[in-house]
Amino acid sequence: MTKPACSLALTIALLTGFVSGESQAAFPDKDINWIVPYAPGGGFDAWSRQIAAHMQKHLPPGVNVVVRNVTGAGGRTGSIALYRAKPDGYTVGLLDVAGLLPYQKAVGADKAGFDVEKYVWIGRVATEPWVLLTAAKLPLKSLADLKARKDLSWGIEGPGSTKWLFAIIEARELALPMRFVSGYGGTGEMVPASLRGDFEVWTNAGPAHIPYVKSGDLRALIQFGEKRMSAFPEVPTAKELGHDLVAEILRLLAAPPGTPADAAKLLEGAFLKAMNEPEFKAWVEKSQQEANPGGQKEAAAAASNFSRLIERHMKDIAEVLRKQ
Amino acid sequence: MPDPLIVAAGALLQPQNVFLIGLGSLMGLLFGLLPGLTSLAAMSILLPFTIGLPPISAMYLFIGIMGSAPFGGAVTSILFNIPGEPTSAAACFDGYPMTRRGEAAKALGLAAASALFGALFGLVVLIGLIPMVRAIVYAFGPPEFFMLLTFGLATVAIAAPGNTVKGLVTAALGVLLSVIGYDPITGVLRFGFGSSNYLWDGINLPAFFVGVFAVGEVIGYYVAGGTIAHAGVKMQGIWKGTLKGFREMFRHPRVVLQGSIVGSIVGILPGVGGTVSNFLSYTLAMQTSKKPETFGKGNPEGVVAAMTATNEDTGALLPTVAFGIPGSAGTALLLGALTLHGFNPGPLFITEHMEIVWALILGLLIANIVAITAGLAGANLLARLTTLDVKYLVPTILAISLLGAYADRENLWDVALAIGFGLFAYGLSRFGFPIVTLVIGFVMGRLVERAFSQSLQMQLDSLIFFKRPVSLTLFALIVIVFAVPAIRKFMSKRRA
Repeated sequence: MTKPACSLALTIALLTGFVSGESQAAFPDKDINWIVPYAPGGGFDAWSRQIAAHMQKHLPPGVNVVVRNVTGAGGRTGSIALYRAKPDGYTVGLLDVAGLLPYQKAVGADKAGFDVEKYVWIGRVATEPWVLLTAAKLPLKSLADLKARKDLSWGIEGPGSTKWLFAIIEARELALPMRFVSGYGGTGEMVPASLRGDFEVWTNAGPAHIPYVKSGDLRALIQFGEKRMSAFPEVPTAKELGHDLVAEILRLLAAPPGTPADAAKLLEGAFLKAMNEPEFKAWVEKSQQEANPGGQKEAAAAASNFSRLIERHMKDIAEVLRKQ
Repeated sequence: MPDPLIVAAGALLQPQNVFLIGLGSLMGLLFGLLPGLTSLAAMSILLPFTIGLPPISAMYLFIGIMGSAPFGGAVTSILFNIPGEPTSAAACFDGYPMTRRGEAAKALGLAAASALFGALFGLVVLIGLIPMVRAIVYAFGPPEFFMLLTFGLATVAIAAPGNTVKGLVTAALGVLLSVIGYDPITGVLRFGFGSSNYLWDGINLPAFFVGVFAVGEVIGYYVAGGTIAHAGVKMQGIWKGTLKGFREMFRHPRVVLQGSIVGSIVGILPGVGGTVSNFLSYTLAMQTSKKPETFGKGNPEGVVAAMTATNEDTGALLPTVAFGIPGSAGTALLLGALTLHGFNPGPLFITEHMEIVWALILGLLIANIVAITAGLAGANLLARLTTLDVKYLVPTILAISLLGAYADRENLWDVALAIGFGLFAYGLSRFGFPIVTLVIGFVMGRLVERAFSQSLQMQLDSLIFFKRPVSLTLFALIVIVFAVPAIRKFMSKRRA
């Protein structure tokens, strides 16, 4: 760590500790726990480990950011653990908001064990657009080809998964037929399943499918970001095709409800500096991720935008669930 | 740019990488030995620490773990009837009876030779089949998985010679236990028993294995008393026995090849775990044997079949490196480690990063050799424990096993589950219900159900199983495999 950065972080720490006037020692004076709701080896884990390693450079010396995987129930176990953690600023977590919100809306915050709107947001890590994919050998080349179909099979992991959720949202918004082939164990199983023709289309977010599109095995039909991704400059967005739909996977850094504002602010500062480290940016580029750094405000906005999108589609989701 | 093989081999000369591969192999052995603690757990624990290492060093560490865990798992299977790894659980069925006859050293030698041969075979397959990997992955869709797994399930009819009905009862029970949790097809929670999320992801496999094997077994020890190796049986000389085991493998070329092929294929196919491969291989060996009734009673072929098929992880490396698609949970973690290092593995990975592929191949070789030399030396010390009075063994094994059940996901309920299943399994075997079929049902039930539903969803055609060439061929094979012994029996009766 460089000396100026170190002393700056220390100054901030001292100041915030002083202003809040409640703690004997300045925040933070011990390690920060970072909860990942998924197992090591996945995207959430990789982002967390990378950011945490850079983030601790911008915290007082001796304060480490310790990443812990709290897994189970499709990411909900870890999210609940974060929700119930002591709100003292020493626990944060990278939430899969797109996975949590529909469940919460469906069963209610009490039964879900968390309320996404009550987390204290620290920052926005990434908003990766969903992409509609098909095997390149299939004759589906454009939205018009899809619309001409009376029957279209969609591959999903399982009902309740984010691939399932966004398949429903995309199919409804684009007015496409939809029938599921389900039960796959993740993107690693879905790429070969798509290529061997188990189903016709599927939707994915994150970098895992990018190499297969580049190699000509998969075809990206439509992307659902605000603007075109750098990986797919030639693939149209839904917006360009006249559909007002932005669907992105949200990776938002959060703290438990009731975390003091000054502690959250300090963590936001360290987080944003970490996201700006050249070494971190190099990792993002090399691994074909799409970072979209933002602070507390951007994270909160992203969460509430997504919440509105889900509310718009709760009826569709309920209908699909009823039919099963 | 220098040749990738030279880059990979050169990296092996660095002390850091020698240390890491040694560390990996020893961790793999240790986690393999301890019931409940799997090689996956070892990799998950170490994954974050690799962030500061060069990618090639991280690969050496991981492949060390993956290469040595199967033999570690087999050691406890053979000596104590407690599989250290789910992937070597089938080695219990005949390895343990051999131990009871005093042939522990021979069984261990046999297991080591089989695991080594399987791995070598897998590596040859890996290098040879790289250009064909896509064709193989594409040929096996849900209908083909269904047929493959149906074969495994169907063999329970003969997996319990003498008490077929009891075998079917426990197999059905195993299938029922496997469907607990969220249905992957409809998303409906089945048999949640009102638990608020404990049973949602299904019954935890390591805890289940600790229960039915370890806990059930130690209750048996305690009740029976005495020593594991039958009193009066003289322990075979250790090194002589091991050598005998090595030689024994070559007497069963058919099973050796069969097991190696099953392991490789199951490994290559994404979505069928390594736990399945050793059971599939075991049941296939039993089904094709002229004396299926000797299985489960210390037939060396059972050990060979189970252990050669542990090359599943070698097979799983094939789609991983050639295609960026993990063939197993272990290789999925390997890919995860690569992501952490800024790679996004895909179909071009092998052309761009051949040095990593060579590192994995070399690493796997070394790991197997380390595992077998260190493992055999250690295991033969452990083998002496089988002549010890069980009253000293029971508390030790129980403590280690239950700790493993807890450590897998740090859930105290898993310990309760393991104890419950332990009592249940003891009761089953007390009344002559086979555990083998329970485990086969549990391991394959959910997978076979999933493959069945997916097949039907694909084209909404219930005859899809018979309209695809590979699936139809597999179906024909199942019919033949089951018909031949019956026909043979009928013919010999007529002749007589």
